Amino acid sequence: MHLLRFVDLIFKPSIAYAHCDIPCGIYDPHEAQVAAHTIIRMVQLINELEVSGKDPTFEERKKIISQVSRLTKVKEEHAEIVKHQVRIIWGDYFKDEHVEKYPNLHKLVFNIMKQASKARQEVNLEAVRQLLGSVLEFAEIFWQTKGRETIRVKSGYPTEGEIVLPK
Amino acid sequence: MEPDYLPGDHVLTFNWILPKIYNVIVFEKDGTFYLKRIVKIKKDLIFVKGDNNKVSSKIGPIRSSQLIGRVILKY
Repeated sequence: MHLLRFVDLIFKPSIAYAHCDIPCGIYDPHEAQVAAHTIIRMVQLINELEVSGKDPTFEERKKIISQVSRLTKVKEEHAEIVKHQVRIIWGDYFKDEHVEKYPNLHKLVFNIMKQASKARQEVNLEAVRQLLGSVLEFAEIFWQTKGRETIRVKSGYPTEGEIVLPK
Repeated sequence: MEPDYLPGDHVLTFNWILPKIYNVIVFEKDGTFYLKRIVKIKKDLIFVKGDNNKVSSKIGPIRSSQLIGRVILKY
């Protein structure tokens, strides 16, 4: 054993890490895609709400308000999930060489952040479909950086949108 | 920092002179010590990077005041 190791037994050295977080290497844009679909579904369900007549009863108003509140809460939460998941992959996984190969990546992530914020602020089906489109594009770039071809398949969700999968 | 530095390696640092590009340094950030290689120095900012590109996590530039020292010996 090196002599300095004996010295270290007496004067304990501090620990230095080579990584600022756990480099698990496990990243997947799937959750962001599912969350984007969930937002679309919440907007659809809000848009489908109807009252029975021009002057709904107090009970019916309470029911509608309660439903809108619940749907909006889930919409808000999943917009944040989209932003969180995309930020993690963008900040922790993507490296300089990926950005060089996909120069639109930063702009795409910026758009996703803005589109997800808009999805929270509005009940706008067109806007949330644009968000899903951006997230799908992000997922394709992610898998391509891993050398995987991708395919867009029907999600099978009530949103009737697509989802990106690695082949 | 593999393959040059493996988990459990001990290092001795030296802080009497300023490190240069490609030197491996130990620095402090948010109360934790880190070991990285210098890739660029711009005035007071030191840009660092891990050696193992497959797993190394990114960390922003550090200020020279965060520098603990340059690694001069691994044992």
